[in-house]
Amino acid sequence: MARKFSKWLRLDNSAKIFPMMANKNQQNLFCLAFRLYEDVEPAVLNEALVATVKRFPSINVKLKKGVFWHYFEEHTGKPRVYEAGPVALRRITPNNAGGFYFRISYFRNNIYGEFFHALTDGKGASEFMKSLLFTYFRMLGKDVDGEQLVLTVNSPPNPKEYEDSFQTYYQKKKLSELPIDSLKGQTAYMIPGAEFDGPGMGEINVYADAKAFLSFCRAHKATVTEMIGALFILSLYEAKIKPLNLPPQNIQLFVPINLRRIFPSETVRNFSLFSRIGVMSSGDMKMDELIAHIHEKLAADTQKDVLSAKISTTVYAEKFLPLRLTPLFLKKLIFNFSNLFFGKHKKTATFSSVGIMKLPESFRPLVRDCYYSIAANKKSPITVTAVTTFDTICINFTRSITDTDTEKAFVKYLHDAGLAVRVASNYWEVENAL
Amino acid sequence: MRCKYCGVEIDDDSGICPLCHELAVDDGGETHANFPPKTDKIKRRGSRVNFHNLYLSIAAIAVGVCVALNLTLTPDVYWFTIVMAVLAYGYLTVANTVLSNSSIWIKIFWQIFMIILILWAAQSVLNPLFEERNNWLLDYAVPIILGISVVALGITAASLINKEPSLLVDNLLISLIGFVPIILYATGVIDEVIPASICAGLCGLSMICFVAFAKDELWAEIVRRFHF
Repeated sequence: MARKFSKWLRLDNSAKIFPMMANKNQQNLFCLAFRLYEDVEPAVLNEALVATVKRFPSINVKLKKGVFWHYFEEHTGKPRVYEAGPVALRRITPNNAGGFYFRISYFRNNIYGEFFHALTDGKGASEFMKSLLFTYFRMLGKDVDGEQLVLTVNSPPNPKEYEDSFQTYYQKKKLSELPIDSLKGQTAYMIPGAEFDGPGMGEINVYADAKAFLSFCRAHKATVTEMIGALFILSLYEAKIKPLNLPPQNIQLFVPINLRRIFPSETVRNFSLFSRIGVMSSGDMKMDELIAHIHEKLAADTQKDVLSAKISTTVYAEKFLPLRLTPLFLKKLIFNFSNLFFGKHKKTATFSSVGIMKLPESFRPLVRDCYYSIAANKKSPITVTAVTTFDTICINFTRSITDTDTEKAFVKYLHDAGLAVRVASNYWEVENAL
Repeated sequence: MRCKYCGVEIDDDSGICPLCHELAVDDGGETHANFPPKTDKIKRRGSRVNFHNLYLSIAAIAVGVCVALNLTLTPDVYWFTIVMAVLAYGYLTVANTVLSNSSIWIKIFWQIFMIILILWAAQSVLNPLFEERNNWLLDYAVPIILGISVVALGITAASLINKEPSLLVDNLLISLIGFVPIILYATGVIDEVIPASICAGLCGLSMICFVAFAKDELWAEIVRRFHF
C-alpha cells in the first residue's frame, strides 16, 4: 500500500495572528447565514457539504502547532452539518466541530456557516457558502446555474485560490520606508455596558429594501458603507455618549478593506487589511459632515500605494528573522503580554460592509436573504456588518453587552428617514424569550 | 408583527420588539425564523466547577497537612516532598496530558520530567536513610524511563505512520533526549555506563530505523513542524 503524505499549508500573513489571539473568551469568528424559502433538508445538506469541502483545500484543514508557527494540515475526515444551537458564534474547538475550523449548521430554513478567521475572510467564506448552496440545490434537483459566479465542485481547485496574496503583492522595503505608525492606532472610546452572564452574543438584524436604502444614500451623496458608518457613529453618540454628558470621545471604527478590489486575486484565504475611521464626538455632529469625513478617510486609506505599503509592513513583520526564529509558545506569550498592556482601547467597534453578495439569478426563487455577523468581544462590544442579497440589505448588529440602545437609535434614524425596516433578534438579553 | 413604539415591523414570531422589548401588535404580516430559539441548557459563566481551582485547592490543603504531620512526627525525613511531587504529577497528567491538545512529544516530555521529579524527591528522602549516597536516579531510572518511552513511541509511530505522521518527529525529539544519559556519563556526572549505553543504543536504533524506512515522511514532517 502506498503511503499517503498529508498536505499542509502555511497560514497566510494575516491569519498568523488569529490562533495566537484565541482564548476561552475570545476567538475571531464570523458567520454567513442564508435564509431560504424552504426548510433545509439536513441529510442533503450534509452530502453537499462533504462534496463542497473537497473543492476548497484551504478550508478542508486542521490547525496544527509547529515549532515556530501554526500550520494547516489537510483534514482527511468528513465534515458534518449540525443542528444550530442557540449560542451565536460559539467558540470552535477541535472537539466541537470534528477537527475543522468552520461549522455549518441549520435551523428551519436557515443555513449558517461559522468560520474561524484564520481560515478565510468574508469574501472567501462567501465563495464557500455559494458553492455549498449550489451543490445543495443541485442535489435537491433544483434548476440552478452557476452563471460563472460560483466555484462549482466539478471544477478542480485552482492553486491561485489558496495562495497567500500578501506574499504576491509584497515589495521588499527598508524598515525606515514602512508606515509602521499607521498600524498603531489611537486610544479609542470604549462602549460601556453590562456583559452577558454566560456564553453567546446578542444579534439584531435590520432588513430594508436595497433600492430604497440606496436612494436614501444617494440623497445624501453617500455610498452604503459611508451611510451606515455615519449612522452608526451618530447612534453611538445618541445612545451612549449624550445621555451621560460625556466630554468629546474619540470614536474609532475599524473597517476591514477587501484588498481584492485593488489587487487582483482569486484567493479564498485572508486578503484584507483595515482602515481606522476616527471621529471626535460632539453634539454638533451632522450626518453629511460625517459622511464626507468617512468618504475622505476611506478614499485615502484605499489608495493603491497606501495599501501596498501596509501590505509590505505586515509581511515585513512576518519575515523579520528574530521573530521567525522565536518559538511559537514564546511568540504567543510576547504577543499576549504586549496586547495586554498596549493593545487595549484601540477601537470602539468593528464595521464591515461586504457590499453586494453576487448570487446567481437562478438562486432568486430559492434564497430569501443573507446576513453576515462578526463576533463581538470585551474590547469591541458591538460589531456592525452590512450585506445586500438580491433586493434586501441586511444590517447586522452583534454585541457582547446586554443593552440595545445603539441599535434602537440606529433604527430610529432609518425610521425617521421614512425607510420601512424589518427587525429580527435572537433576544439574548431577554429571559425566556422565543 | 409591528412595534407601535419603534414603528418597525418585527420579522420573527416572538411577540416582542427586539429594540424596546414592548409587546408587539399582530398586524397579520409574514414572520420568518432568523435565529434558533434559546434553551435552558446554556451554561452560565463560572457555573461549572473549574478543575484547576478545585485541584489546586485540594492539593494546597493536602500539602499543608503533610508538612504539619511531617515536621511534627518525623522531622528528620522530609517525606512531604514526595507528596508534593506526586500531587504536581497528578495535576500535570490531567491538565497537560488528558485535557490539553499539545503534541504527543510535549506530553511525553512532561510525563518523563514529572516522573523524574518524583524519583528525585524519593532519592533525596531515601538516600540519607540508607547512608549510601548512590545516584540511582541518573544512573538507572532516567535511562530506563527514556529507553521505555522511545521504544513505546517508536512502535506507536511505526504502526500509525499513515494516520499520524507527526509521531515521527515526536519520536525523533524524544530520541534526541535519550542521548542525555550517555552525555552525562561522558562528562563524568554519572557512573553507570551500561544503562546509559542501552538507552542511547535504543534511541540511535529508533532514529536509524525511521531514517532508513520513512525518510521522506520524516523529512516532510520536519519541514512542516519546523517551518519558519
